[in-house]
Amino acid sequence: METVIIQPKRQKFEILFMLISIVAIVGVASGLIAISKIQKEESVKLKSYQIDAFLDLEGNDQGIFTDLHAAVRVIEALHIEYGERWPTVSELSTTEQLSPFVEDLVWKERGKHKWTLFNQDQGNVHRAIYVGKSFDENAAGNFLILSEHFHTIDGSYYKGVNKEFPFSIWYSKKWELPNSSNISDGTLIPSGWKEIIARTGYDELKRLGRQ
Amino acid sequence: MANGVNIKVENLSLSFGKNEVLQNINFEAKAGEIHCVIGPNGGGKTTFAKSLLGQTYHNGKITFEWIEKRGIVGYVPQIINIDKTLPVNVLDFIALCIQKRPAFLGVDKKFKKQVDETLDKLEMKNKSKYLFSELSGGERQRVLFAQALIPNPQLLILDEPMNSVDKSGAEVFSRIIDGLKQNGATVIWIHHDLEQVQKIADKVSCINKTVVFSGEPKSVMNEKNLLKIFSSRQGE
Amino acid sequence: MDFLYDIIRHSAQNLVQAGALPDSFKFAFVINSLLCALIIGPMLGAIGTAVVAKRMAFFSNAIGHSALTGIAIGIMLGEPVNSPYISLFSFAILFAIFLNFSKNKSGMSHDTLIGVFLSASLAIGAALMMFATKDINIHILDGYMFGSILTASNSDINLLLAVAILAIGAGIYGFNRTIMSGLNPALAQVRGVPVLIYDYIFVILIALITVASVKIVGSILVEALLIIPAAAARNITRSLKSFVILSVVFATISAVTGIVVPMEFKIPIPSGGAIIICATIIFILTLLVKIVRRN
Repeated sequence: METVIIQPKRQKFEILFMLISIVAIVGVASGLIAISKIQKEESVKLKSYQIDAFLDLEGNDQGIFTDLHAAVRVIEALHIEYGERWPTVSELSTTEQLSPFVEDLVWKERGKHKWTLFNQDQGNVHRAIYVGKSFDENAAGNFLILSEHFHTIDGSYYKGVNKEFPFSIWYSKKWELPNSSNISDGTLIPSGWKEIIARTGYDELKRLGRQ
Repeated sequence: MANGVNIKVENLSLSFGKNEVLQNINFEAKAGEIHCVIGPNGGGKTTFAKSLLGQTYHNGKITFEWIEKRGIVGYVPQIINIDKTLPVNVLDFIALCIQKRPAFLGVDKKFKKQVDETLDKLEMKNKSKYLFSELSGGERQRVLFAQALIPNPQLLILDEPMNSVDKSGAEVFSRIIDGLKQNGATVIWIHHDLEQVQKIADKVSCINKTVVFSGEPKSVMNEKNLLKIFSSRQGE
Repeated sequence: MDFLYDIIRHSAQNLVQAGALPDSFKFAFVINSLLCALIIGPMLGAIGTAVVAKRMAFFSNAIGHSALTGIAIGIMLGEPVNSPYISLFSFAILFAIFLNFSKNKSGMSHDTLIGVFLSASLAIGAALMMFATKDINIHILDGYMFGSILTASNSDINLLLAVAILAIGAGIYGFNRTIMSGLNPALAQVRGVPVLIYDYIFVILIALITVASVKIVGSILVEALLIIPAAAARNITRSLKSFVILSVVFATISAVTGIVVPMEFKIPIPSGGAIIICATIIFILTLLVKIVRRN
């Protein structure tokens, strides 16, 4: 024999449940946001295929990178100005007089890079690769810009494809370029190219502060 | 004797806000007994059944005394709130009710035989692929009844709607319920057909907010008592 | 997981070179978006059947709109603009719990209550979003409203996959009980289903699914993919089995076509819109079938 008292439904259960879940969710969320902020403040770790612009590059290489770092943004702007067409190498060097494309004295000293543009637009995805082959490998290595973004219908919103920035800058001491129709992170890395990461001043301060 | 349950309800009261639905109900049902509950519409019969199931904010004491151990409770709701366009057929519905295995994977093997037999007994086997929306009120009632029989209940609570069970259905129901009773189960049956009640009930209780009368049908279902309760429905 | 995605992308690139796949499949983001479609389709298609069965279409709509508020809060709290997931998830879950709580406790009609919540969540979301993004590109708003599958990153896919596994697992385990508690709570309770808890779990699950899909389909349209395939399947089926299967198939077809067709034919429309248009076309076809059958 088993005796069971049938209990009435609990009145306060639901209110209690809601209050507990509100407190729990807000608590966990603020904890997670706090943690993620701390993590973000720690300096960016480099991946195996990345190099640091300030620590791993020297002399002419660093100079060219600094120029490129500024130039990519100009190229982005020109791309819009030209009606979503990538500027050609000669437009960059002659019309725009943009370093490091302009063939001036510094260009000669830094390895006389021969630049080539591979335009790989497809639909609303715009993709350009500017490759700079060093003429004098003792003066500087080879550089490559991978610029890739897409447009929405109204053409205004644009952003990198799978990357925080719509472009990346790559460096390789030895000249080995994958098939030009198939240049991507996946093919550049095995060919010995390294992505150059420019740390912000804030990163640097953190790094120096820790040392 | 197989498992059944003795139910004892003492001073059951329940109100929704200021509206008192049940008031001081004292009620008893024994194992192996068909206890019919009658009473006017809106008299609190359905609420009473839900209190027995522990689904209301009631006051008072409800005790289930299982003869062996805690048994299986079957419940036949009055209506099922099913979307007309929802593709739930008879077998799907029963699978939804009785098993854990997702109903869209079909009826669980261990219930298959019993489902077939039950539908057969209720003369619903040829309609097992019919959508719920294609069934008549009486047929829906049969399906609702079928699910309550799987697995075999030791306490069956039926909340029967007015007018939806057809004549042949009523006979089938009575036969099956009689079988449960023979096995010692307790049956609480909210019923509307007084003629039927007189035939099948061991005990009858009339609930209209409180228990108006209770006892064996022969002794309590006299003209005077019934008139008192159902006078408002005489003209219908 | 990134490793697995790399393998998939790489084999796709090989297939492109072999001429087996269209040219656009060589881009990582195309593969990413297809992976998303293949996760999102079955997930929304399957759970959508339960949403339709429980008549919670508008409920999920309101949760979808609440995503905007969650994003805005995230941006204001300094989470990454492109993935303010902590705030997004927390807010959507809180919103779902609160909405269900008010539904249970107020005794108001569902339509009215959800109507209030739906418009309020959209208004607050849009307002906060404008405020929060005053320093950032305003087009982020478009991306979240209409979805931009092309921006799906590895971590977005990871999140989507995790939620999909959770949702489908929970969906299979609790399918009967969830539907039962919608059809007849009293009967479900007799069968031992803790109806209240199941209701809350279900709305939380919808919140999770919605939020995980927002980036791909957009907050405005996410519930459309939850409902239209299920509604289309409902038009032409006569059992739960075919209901669930067809809903999954329709949702997956819609998601994949909605991504591939605009890309291949260079039609400049957002992914969310294209996916819903495909689903709607399927719905209209099933409706025609239904009408023809009736007569």
